Amino acid sequence: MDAIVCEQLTKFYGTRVGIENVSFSVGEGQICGFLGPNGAGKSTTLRLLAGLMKPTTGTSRVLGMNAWNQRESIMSDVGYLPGEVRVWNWMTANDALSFLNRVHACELASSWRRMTDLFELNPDVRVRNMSKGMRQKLGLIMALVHNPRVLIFDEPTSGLDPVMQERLLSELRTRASNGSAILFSSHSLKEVEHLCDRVVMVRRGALIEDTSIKSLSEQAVRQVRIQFPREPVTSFENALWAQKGLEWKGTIQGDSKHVAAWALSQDASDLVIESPDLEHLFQSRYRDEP
Amino acid sequence: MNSGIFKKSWRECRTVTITCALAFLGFQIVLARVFASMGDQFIEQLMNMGFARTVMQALLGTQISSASPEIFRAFGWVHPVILALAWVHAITCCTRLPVGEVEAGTADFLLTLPLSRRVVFVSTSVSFITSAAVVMGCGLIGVWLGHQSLPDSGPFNYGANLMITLNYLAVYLAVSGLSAFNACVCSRRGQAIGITLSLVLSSFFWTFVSQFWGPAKATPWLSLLHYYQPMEILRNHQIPGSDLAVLSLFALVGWVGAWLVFRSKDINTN
Repeated sequence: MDAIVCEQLTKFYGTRVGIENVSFSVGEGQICGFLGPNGAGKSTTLRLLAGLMKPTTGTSRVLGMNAWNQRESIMSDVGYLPGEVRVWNWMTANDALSFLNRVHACELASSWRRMTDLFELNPDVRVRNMSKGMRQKLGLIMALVHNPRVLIFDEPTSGLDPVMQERLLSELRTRASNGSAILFSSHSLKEVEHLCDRVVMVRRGALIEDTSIKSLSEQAVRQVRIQFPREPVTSFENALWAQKGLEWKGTIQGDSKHVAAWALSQDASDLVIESPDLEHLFQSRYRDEP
Repeated sequence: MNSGIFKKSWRECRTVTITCALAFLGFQIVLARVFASMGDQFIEQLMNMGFARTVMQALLGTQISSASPEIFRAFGWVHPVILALAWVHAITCCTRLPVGEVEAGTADFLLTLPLSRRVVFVSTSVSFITSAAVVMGCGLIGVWLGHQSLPDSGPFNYGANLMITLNYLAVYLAVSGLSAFNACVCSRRGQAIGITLSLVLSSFFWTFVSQFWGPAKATPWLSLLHYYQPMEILRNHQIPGSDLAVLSLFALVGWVGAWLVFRSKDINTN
């Protein structure tokens, strides 16, 4: 079942386009990366899904319910993290727990303790005295503590150190394997590449890509370097080669097994095939290149 | 109604509530003592001074024939400082939702909680009104303490003072309704505060000048303070039913208008 669905979602800010006719969906247990340059409409889309704004036209549905009209019914199953985490500055993490206990009308203490331990957050520090990273951790804990089935995160790793980033990504993987649907925006392509099953890209308010990481990898180019002991008898046509003596450097697109097989058939003494260069692909999409 | 939101809102208004309540209480005691120390003769002389008499009439919103204890008891309820305390409290608290939360960036968390906007709005509003009741209550206690500290003050008129408190609370609700509405339609909190304050000060000014300026004399009902008459209550000992009704209606229109805007307002903190 699709946990998150956008159908022809459009939002105008006056006459300015926020997003226009964006349609995509995220299934249960799926992690979907949401990419795009600044001002592309990522946050607008996430805010529409979180029920903070009313779409101009189109529909956003979460767990089968309208994200705007029925938001109070779905928000107990949704964890939302805004792009810039700002919590009431008089609160400590302990105050936040007591507040959320009352709001959710249930006891969240054990889950809260697990999350504060995971992110190593001191529960007695007031938000006004917290660093950006600590505030981000608090925001994440507040969004995750009630074990929601849908996670909508706007740049969740922003402000976190690499250790905490890895812990968060591992936590998200676990949640996805338990059936949670996760949609998150990010500027870190590595993060998206390593975590996501799917990628949705927007640019200038329009959806330009909705595909799996696997199929994206097939579109991306790979750098290949082959060292031959002597001049090869045949050439490999599906690549652009630059030869320097007996060292061949080139780029291929898609599957690498054919070039590997060819190199071995030519008795190559060394063969290096890099991972697909998704970054280059993303950059070209960002810059509106073919 | 959600106790978490209620408690949070109460916590956020705690400082201004305690400050206004203590100031209200203290000011009433001090004012009672000041009037007691003036002596009857001084007061009579003050009443004979044209300008001072006009100012007193303008503040009380009614004609004064001669000096009487009621004038000074009523004056404690219409003194600009007392009115300013209520307005400061109403405007500070009631412009928090939603524009204050949007400006602070906390609206994202608040409005993605598993609560309807109705519950958030009602819980927050009830919290503000409760804190206003605390301020009013402290004012009433201040009046009582001031009265008790005076020699030969006679019995304290509980009924009339409760009615004045009620009338004052109705003024507060009207101002807070206006603040809540402006907080929903404005995109900046400063703008909401500015507009509300301008309207409230204009209202005060209109009541003031209606004592001696023709156009204002003909339309005193345009001012909110026209419906706040402590002097009349002390004179007649009657519930100001029509005044309360007008103020309550004004407050209701403000709060309902605020709710109608808030329930479908886009929350954009970017």
